[in-house]
Amino acid sequence: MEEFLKKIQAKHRIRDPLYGFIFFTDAEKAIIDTQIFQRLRRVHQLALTKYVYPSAEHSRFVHSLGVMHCATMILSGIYNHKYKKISSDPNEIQIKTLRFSALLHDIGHLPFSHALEKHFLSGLKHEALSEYIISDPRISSIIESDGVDPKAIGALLAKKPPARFRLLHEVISGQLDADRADYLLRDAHLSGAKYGEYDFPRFLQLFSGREDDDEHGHLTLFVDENDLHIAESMLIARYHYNLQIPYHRTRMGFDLVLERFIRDFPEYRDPFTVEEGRLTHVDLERFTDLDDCEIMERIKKEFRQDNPWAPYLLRAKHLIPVIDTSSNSFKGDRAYKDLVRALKNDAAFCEGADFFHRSQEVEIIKGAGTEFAEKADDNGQAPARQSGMILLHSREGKGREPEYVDIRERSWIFKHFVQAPHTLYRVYVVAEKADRARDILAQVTA
Amino acid sequence: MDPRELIVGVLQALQKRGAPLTKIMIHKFMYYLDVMGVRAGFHFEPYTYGPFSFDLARTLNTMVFWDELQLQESKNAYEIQDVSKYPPLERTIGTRIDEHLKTFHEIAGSFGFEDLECAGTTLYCSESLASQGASISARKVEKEFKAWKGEKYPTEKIRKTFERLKPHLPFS
Repeated sequence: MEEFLKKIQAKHRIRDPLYGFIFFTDAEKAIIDTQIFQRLRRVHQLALTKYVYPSAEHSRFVHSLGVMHCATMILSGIYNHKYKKISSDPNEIQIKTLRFSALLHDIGHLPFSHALEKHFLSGLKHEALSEYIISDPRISSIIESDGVDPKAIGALLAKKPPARFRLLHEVISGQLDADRADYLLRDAHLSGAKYGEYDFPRFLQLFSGREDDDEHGHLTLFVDENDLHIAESMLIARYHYNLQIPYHRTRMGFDLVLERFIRDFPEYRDPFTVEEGRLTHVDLERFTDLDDCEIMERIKKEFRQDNPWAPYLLRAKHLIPVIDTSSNSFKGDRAYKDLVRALKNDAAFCEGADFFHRSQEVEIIKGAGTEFAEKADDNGQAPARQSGMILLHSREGKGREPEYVDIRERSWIFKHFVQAPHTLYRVYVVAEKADRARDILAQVTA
Repeated sequence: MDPRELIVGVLQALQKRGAPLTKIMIHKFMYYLDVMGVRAGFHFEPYTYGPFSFDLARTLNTMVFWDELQLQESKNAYEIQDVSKYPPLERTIGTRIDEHLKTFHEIAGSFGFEDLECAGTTLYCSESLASQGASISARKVEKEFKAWKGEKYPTEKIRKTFERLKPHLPFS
């Protein structure tokens, strides 16, 4: 990686618990030093997971730096791979484009990360806000002055990459991208929950790349079959990570209360103008102050004024899960549906006041369960290669001509994880109504 | 607006016009609506058969789970079941959807699978170019299209689709 860092003159450095040091350039430093980027220090990476794993206190700031570093290491691994078929090394602009995209990928995150974004942005996601911020002169002028087109960064992060950026897009937003690579390790390390760990040094040797044979010569990422187990181990790490960290049962209860709490304060939407489903204006001064600290101050203030949800958010109370099941269980699936319907029809229960429910897909592979999403081929088969699926460089042993195939053809783990993910079904109630809810559950499942 | 209200409005408009309620029809037409300013906030990205929204797919699955829609045996198309809990769309939005559907039909040529894939991909490539600040031309769109789809569709078909689409693009 040193040669890439030298090429872009990354002469500044900062300590990091995972990588030792993270290096960055003058322009990257200028972005990091903006108040809008510094704000990420005050947005927790894992929202209220800290109420489950007390040391999960790290921020989007350190994750963003980590993704920039990790993306560069992955790119370096691609260009040093023994099977790579790329005629020239990446130029300065390509490396910078990748790094700016990685550094800024979470710039639009709202307080408590994913938990509240739909409320703040009227249904939009933080990516829309990231795109808006990157186009603002406060950020775009720095990128431009470093010779990079801010529109290319926006396009990469908005998932509208031109074909020439296909490989960079895979590194930033692919199935096993730098974002996932960093958060799995970082969240596992800093929360103390070991789910999410995998063999990182070996992972960095995973990817290779090749040029298309056509006139365009665009680059495509691939994995050699000898490294298949590394790719698979990351999926398994992600599976356990999802179940034990972001979708942890107790944390999900706090997420539901947080969403309920914020619903009473529509003024937090004021900085964002959404017209016809598009973010048209953001008060960036106001946005810069809108962080976890501000919401937490509000929670403390409301606690003193007897807001019913504030005690939960200060860890003085918690919701009671009365059913925690998944689509793996037909009985559980049915019980969840029947219980929710029964609670909605019961005069003693009001949704959002006495009970909450959530169904959550446990996505491991992007696009899992959608291989037949739009069409099965005439013979009923899934398409030969699902878009976005990793290519495998395979010989099926030694002495045969290698071929590039969809990784699912050779990996039992990928083949199974790509099927429809299971969904978690949970119903929570306030403590005072727990016994009554359990009675209803007993009735509907009798 | 709850995005499911727009989905219901779109499905009813499709049904009224005799268009199939297939997954590809819903994804490609909702993407077209999104580009034209009738948005539910779904995020579309390049996928196996053109632009596709995982959020939309998830929302449709949830509607099936709660018996608001039913997935046909083929798994590729829906039937509307009980959607009475969703209020009807404002008349102006409903009218816009009807008009856009008519135009989208003209652009695609038909609501067959290949025509929808080709129209959706052509629109996506145009939008991708526009988002980079590039000017849009038949040649550039065709190049992007082929970099994504290879030779799956002949140049002539891509160009004709683009020519029909071009007057309606909200960007140049």
